[in-house]
Amino acid sequence: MTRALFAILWLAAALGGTSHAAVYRVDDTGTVVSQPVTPMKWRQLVPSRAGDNTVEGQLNVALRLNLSSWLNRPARIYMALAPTEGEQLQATWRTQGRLLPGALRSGGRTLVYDGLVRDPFLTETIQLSLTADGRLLTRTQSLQFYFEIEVSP
Amino acid sequence: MTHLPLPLLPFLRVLALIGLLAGTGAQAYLVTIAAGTRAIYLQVGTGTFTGTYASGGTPGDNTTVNTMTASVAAGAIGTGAQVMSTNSTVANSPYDNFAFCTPGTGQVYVGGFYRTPGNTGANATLSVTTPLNLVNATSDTIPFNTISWVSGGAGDATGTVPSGTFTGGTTQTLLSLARNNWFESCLTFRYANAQLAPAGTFTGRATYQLVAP
Repeated sequence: MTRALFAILWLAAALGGTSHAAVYRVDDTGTVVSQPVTPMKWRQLVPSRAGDNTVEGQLNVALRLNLSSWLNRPARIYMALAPTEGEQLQATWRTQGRLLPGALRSGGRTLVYDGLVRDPFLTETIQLSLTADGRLLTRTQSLQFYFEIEVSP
Repeated sequence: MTHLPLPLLPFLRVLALIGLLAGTGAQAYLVTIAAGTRAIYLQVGTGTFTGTYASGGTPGDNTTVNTMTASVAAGAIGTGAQVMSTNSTVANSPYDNFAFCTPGTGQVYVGGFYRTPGNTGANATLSVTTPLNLVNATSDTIPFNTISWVSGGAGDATGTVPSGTFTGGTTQTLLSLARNNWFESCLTFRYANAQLAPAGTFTGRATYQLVAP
């Protein structure tokens, strides 16, 4: 009987985990990046004595997030950047107001929306600024940005 | 009572998670970035640098060839070293506009940088090439190795470019410059004037190169 009770408690605890907000990847089909390759330019073309070796690049991204599965539900949406190979890259962005501006590093995520999902599609153009240590960025890389949505059950 | 096998529970949770993920069309957008460009800059004497490093300046091309001159009076021939004067007027560093050299005393500015992505690999190399001799109009010669230089610069305890003497007839390495660094020195040249030489104007060109791998 003790064993049965333990199993029930364990099952309850395990299933209890699903009562937390569920996380889903957002379908961003239709999102358009303003340029196929963003050249990263030295912040200072001339190397400094202090060692400023930052490279930076800017681009616009026209986002289109398919939120139709969570219409009229409270949700938090995060923008995330998949880990990059070897190089710690920082992204900051400005928005037109539908999403929150913010910053993140590769491997992290940042809240960009907190509220009721009112429309099946959320469109927004963000101005994305990228910075990295130019000594570590030695070749062309593809950065994978994606969105996660958290909704309460 | 029927017990659910415990090891099966995590598996079921994984299945449930997969089911949730499969319910949406997970996507991502890709941003492709290209590494910073390589750049190299060398200035010997007169150069072109728009602005300064500190103000986000950029280097340019300049084809000026400056001169170093020692005028030895007839009665002073062979009597010892003479400091050479220069027509270079570069006093301030293009790095930060710091008053670094004193061209009025013969100092010639030498500086530059090597910018490249990556944190490893070979350095850039500063070298100078000279002919064996300086020559006058009647083909008389003075060995180039009679000219040496002292490296300095305001605030520098020791010159970044080492002091030395032209070897003559060859290329000699002066400095190994680590990537993503700036260097600069002020060179004061001296003619040894330790030998008798026929009258005339003796000329020869020293060509400096900064080469990146």
